[in-house]
Amino acid sequence: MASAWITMFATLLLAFVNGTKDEVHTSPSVRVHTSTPVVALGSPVTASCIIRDDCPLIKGAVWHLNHIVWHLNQRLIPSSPAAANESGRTSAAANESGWISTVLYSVANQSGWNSTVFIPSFTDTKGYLTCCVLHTFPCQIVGAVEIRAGFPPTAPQNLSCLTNLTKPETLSCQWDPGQDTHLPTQYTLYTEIRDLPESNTYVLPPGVHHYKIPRTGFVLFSEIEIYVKAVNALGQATSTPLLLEPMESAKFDPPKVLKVQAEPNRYGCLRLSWGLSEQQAWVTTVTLEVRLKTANSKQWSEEPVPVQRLMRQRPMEVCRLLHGTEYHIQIRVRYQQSPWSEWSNSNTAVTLERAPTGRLNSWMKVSREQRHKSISLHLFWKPSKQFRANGKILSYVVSRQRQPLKKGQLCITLDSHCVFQLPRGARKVFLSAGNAAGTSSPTEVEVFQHRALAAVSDVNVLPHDERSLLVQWTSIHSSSVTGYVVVWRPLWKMDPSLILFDHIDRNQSSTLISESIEPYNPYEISVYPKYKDGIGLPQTVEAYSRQKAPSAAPELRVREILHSRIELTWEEIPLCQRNGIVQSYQIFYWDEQGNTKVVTAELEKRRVVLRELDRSSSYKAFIMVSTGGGSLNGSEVTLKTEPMDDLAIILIVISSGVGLSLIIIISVLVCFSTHERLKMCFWPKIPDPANSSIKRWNTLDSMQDTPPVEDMQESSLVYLSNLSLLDLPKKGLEKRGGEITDDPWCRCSDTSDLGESICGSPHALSPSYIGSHQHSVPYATVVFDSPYSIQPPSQSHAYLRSESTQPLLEEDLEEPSSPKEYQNVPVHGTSGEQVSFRECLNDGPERGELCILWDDFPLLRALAMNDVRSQT
Amino acid sequence: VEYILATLFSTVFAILCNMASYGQSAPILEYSGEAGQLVDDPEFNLSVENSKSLIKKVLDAIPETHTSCIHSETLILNSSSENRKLQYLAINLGIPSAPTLKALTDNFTLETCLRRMSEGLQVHQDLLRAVVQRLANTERITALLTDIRDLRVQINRVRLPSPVAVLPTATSLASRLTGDYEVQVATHLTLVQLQSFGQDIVRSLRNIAQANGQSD
Repeated sequence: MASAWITMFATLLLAFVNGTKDEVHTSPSVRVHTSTPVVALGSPVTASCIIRDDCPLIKGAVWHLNHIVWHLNQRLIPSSPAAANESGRTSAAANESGWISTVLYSVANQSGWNSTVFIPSFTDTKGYLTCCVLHTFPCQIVGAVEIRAGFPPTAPQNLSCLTNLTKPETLSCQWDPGQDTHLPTQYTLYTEIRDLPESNTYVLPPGVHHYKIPRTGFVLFSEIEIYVKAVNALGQATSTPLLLEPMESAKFDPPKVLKVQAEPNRYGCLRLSWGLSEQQAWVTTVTLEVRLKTANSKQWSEEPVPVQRLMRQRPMEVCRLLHGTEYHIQIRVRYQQSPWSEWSNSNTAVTLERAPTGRLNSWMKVSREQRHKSISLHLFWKPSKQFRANGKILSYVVSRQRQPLKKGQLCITLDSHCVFQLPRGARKVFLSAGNAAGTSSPTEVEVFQHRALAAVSDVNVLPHDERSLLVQWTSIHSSSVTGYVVVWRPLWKMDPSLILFDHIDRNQSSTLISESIEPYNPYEISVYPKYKDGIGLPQTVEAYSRQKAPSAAPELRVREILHSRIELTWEEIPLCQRNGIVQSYQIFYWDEQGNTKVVTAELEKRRVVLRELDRSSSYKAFIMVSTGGGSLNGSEVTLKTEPMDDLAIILIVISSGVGLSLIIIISVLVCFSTHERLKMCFWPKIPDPANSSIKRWNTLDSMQDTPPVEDMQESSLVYLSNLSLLDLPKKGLEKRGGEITDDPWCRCSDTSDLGESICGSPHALSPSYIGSHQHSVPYATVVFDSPYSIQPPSQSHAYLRSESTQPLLEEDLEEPSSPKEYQNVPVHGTSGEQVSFRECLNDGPERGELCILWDDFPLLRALAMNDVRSQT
Repeated sequence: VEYILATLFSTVFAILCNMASYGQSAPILEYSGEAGQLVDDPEFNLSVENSKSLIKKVLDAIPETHTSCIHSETLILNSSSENRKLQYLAINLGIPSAPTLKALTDNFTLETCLRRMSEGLQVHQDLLRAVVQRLANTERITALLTDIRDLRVQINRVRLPSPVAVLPTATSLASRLTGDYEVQVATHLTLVQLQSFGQDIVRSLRNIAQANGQSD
């Protein structure tokens, strides 16, 4: 505490001595100043506010020491801590935010108040100390002073420079300023060129930490020393000097590969023409790096081929390449140890071809024996590690002779397998590969006859990763075993070219296969032991490198539904959708109350029976199929049990059968017994008035000659018999003196079509009428008098009501040629002629029209008569 | 006496050793002498290579500098017939001819060659500095001057630090550039001469490299 007071008084004294420093003249009578406008963060700060007596704010007022207050950034600074000390304790707040000391002063002929504020630790990076006079409320600010706090600069770090060789050429430098000083810090870049008595200074605006030195400021191929100096109000710091040669800090533009080609007789080499970018072409010596990629490779060579010698942009040769191989080539450049340029464009060329070299590995399968003299062989091959195609393979030749002459050639193919026949005694064949430059030396393949030699045991295939499988087996402890062959093929494709194999040493009992292995697909892996004198029997397993849930679930099908059990079945998932080895089928089913049960099905049967179900209940079910990699639920199906049990069904079926057979028997008996009645019921005889016993047709002869009517409508005839004009009250006829007058029948005809006459319909008749004639067939008797009296007697028809009850339908009434009443009967020889209803006139036939007698149509006749009467 | 002699010998030996080490740090000494007997010093070879790069940079920059500075259609860079017409003006303007460079022989040593290269470059540097003050577009010519400066630095690194003969040309040229045409002609003639001299430098550097056993 004492030290704080000493500091404060010392500061006050200093403030008085250097009172004029950094003062702010707010008014002639008030002066606020500080001796520490910029301080290190956390350092003490002092400021004074001197108010002369002639200041209007205090002039004539009753003044008190506490009438001058200070604020730091609008925070009130407590008045003198003396008050706090009086109570024997020091205010912590006062210690933190400072305190004020105000004294009356008198110098020369001036007097006034001098208020000094002391802040022991200034923690803001920037703040305004304002002096305020409590003359009125609120207090009046009479002046202020700005205080800034921060740190001295740290030495700039990580100074680095990069030369830009594209015009305008520059040397770009940048650095890390380090800790924030919170104060304006000036950075200056200094350069000194070694070979010239020249140094430059570049002053940068505050806050800028990079600079581009112009071309005149550095000498190419000559070292330059660069350093940065940081200066602020609290101090300065200089970075570690950087000594560099501008060209060694230049990152070149990507060079250009102009041409790549194979030179004649330069096997395994490619000649490369290249150049630098236009603006950098003047650099004659650069270091070069080449990287290569074969056409079928995705990755560039991991280690680029360094060309250590300084190149002069002349063509260069890249050697030690594979023969007959297409290469993509890129280059990059740098000057000595400068940063590498980006890789150039890619250019492509093919090295010269040479004949293939190295062995071909093969695997032979005696697929079947044809006849007795020859065997059929399937030979597969693949290049060994030492095999070099040295170009594009044009064909593989399997031959019986070591020299592949045309005579002994068994097959020529571009595939990696072929099938051929050999005589039973053949011991070996020769396999060679050929390209445009030549043929490889033949590989001898021994032909082993089919023999049932012992197989390996315990073949086990484990997934290693997504694209490889680990095949393990128990090796055979026999000196005659020379090795093993692992053969694998995809199960979902039957292409023989996809069969792959690998020869394994006899000491090994496991191998990792990864060629063409894809996840979620099944493979068949066979292990064959090789003996000195043949190939053993295989052990085969199916395996997946990775399994997952099937892509599709089987569809549940109901095979049988009974009252308390349902049998479900489903198809196997297709191989390509299985995605793994099926481990279980589980059926989940639940009733309407949600009671769920699970049944696990047997894998091979793919069939399950849901038992103990409620009768006549609805169930829902789905199948869950699980593989080693997950499960998949099938779609939900709704099932419904039958309402009855088996016995009831059997009883019902038996009783129904008995009943049905009884009905059939009875029906048959009835049919036989009442044959005639049935016949009449179902095949009624058409009554033929012409042949009835009571007919009185005068035109019988002529009518008999008429051809049979095509469209017979028996019913109309019957009804007409019932319909009777003769039912008209007799008195009607009598009253008119025998002349036909208005009657219901004719009135109807006036308003309706004759063919569709409702009067002719039985439905139009009153039930009472029908009822009154149930047992007798009425016969009409039409008596024409005056209009028909003029007609010849032979053509006059007289219909008299008959009281006979004899049925009209007699066997002999069936006259096929009898015409129906009211039907236009085509007369023989008149087909094709116009038929009209009219009275016969003398000139009628002359006009070619058929004259049909009205007498044939009594009803029409009546209508016509009615018309005549109404006209008259 | 023996002790004194031993001390003397050791002192003399130490001085000789120091001299030898200073000599190594100053490789210039090794290059003086007859052609074809140069020590295969990587630093010397590197400087020669760098000089080749820089003179190529200068030669590459001359055509575009000429295009940017010369607007007169009659002043064509690679037209010897036209340039022959300017011989009088060249004398009148006081443009000095470039030093002659020859293949290294016993009479024309590497040192002489390097000195003449440096002198010739300085002549052209001064001439261009004189004209650049009178030209409107100075960007390219300033860049060319910088490249010539860098080339001189490279050449001076491998030659003896003998003073270059001061040729009083630049100041006299500045006083004779009375009109714009004179400025154009002076710039044109300087560039033409610099181009020719630059090609001589290329040949000389190739000659030096061959003499020093480098395969080009």
